[in-house]
Amino acid sequence: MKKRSRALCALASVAGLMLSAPTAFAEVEPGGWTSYSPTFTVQQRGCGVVNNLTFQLTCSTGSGDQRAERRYATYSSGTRQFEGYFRISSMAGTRISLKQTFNESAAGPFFMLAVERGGRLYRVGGDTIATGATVGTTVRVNTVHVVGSAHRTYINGSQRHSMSSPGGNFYDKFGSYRTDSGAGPITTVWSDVRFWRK
Amino acid sequence: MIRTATAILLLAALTGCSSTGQPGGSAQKAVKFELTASLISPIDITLDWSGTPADVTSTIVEFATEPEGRYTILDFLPAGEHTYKHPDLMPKTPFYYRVTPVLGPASATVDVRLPAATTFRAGTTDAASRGSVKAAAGTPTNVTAKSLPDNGIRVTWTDNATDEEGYLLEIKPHDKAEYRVAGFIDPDSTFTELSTVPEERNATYRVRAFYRGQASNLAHQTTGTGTP
Repeated sequence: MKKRSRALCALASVAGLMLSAPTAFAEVEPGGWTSYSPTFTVQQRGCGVVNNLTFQLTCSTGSGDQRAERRYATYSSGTRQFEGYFRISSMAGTRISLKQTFNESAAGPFFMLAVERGGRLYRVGGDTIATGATVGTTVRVNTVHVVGSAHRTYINGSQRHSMSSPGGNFYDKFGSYRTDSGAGPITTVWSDVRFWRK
Repeated sequence: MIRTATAILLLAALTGCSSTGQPGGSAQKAVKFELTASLISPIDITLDWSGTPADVTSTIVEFATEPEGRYTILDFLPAGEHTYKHPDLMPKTPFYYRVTPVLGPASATVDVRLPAATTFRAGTTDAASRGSVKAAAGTPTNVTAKSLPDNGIRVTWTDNATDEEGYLLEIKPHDKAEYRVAGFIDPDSTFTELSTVPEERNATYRVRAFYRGQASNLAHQTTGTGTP
């Protein structure tokens, strides 16, 4: 009965969408965005396991390369926007990177959004960005990267971080990755990941 | 195609599919929150709401940038709070809000004192855990909290609920008066794990079978030009 009623509601929801499917324009900041779908590769190292949009570190190892991520295609110009929703479904570990904007030209993570105990989100090498990424809670992330100018991060609709950006080659990554001071285990589920450019 | 979809919608309505979940399916006349959203600067919105739905235990505040969603939870607030500020927002963007009462029974409480390596159980001073008070239908039972390495903790319980939205892990630090939501766990779950922050190491834990009450009206504002 429990599952039956849920299935019925889901069917009704789908039917409602069929009758009046809204056009989705969810990108932040105004003006001239074009949706696109960059290619990606999946990276699983150490105890990292990727299953579609579920990214797990299954061990508590505090050393070595523990990684479960998607690495998207490189870009080198223009303005790029990333949007995605993550949900940490379990986290007995801490200090795990969830989203990176990687500077390929400098061979380093230009911007790394990580989570630690209690759901604090922070920039690796920087300050707190937001709180509230507790187990089970879905968090919306938007990043806007103007290559050669600026990188802005929005958490749940609020701008929480801004930094200047050099020119060069960059790419987006997301999933679960042990930072130098971190350790798993963690399971993170991403959804509704979208990209725009202008 | 449209006929089929309409039929499914009607069937759903007749079978009581709604967002107003109630433990045990009991019908209850609820007072709905009345929500307003005010643009207090070009990129700051304040929410205010009134009303006290029956049996509300806390309030979910959610936002979306499209009227049909996708809605994202901004916070779980204590039932007595009726305002929320959403600051530093995306410029020139429509924001839609709703607030929803959290309903559902909470378990007996468990006092946790980390870093002791042990399993903490519901206290014998708790009336519900002694069985002297009849627990509401669907109340999580047999709640325990087992310490894990490095100040982690694994909380387990027995799932007795039907059609719950999920489970909430609620924690009250020893020097605080109110519980806050520390975890939002899938329906039908029987455990969760977390790595604690200091205030969660000397605290009281409980687990709530979570149902959404009737959501408020949607409140809408569009932000102005920011300075990105």
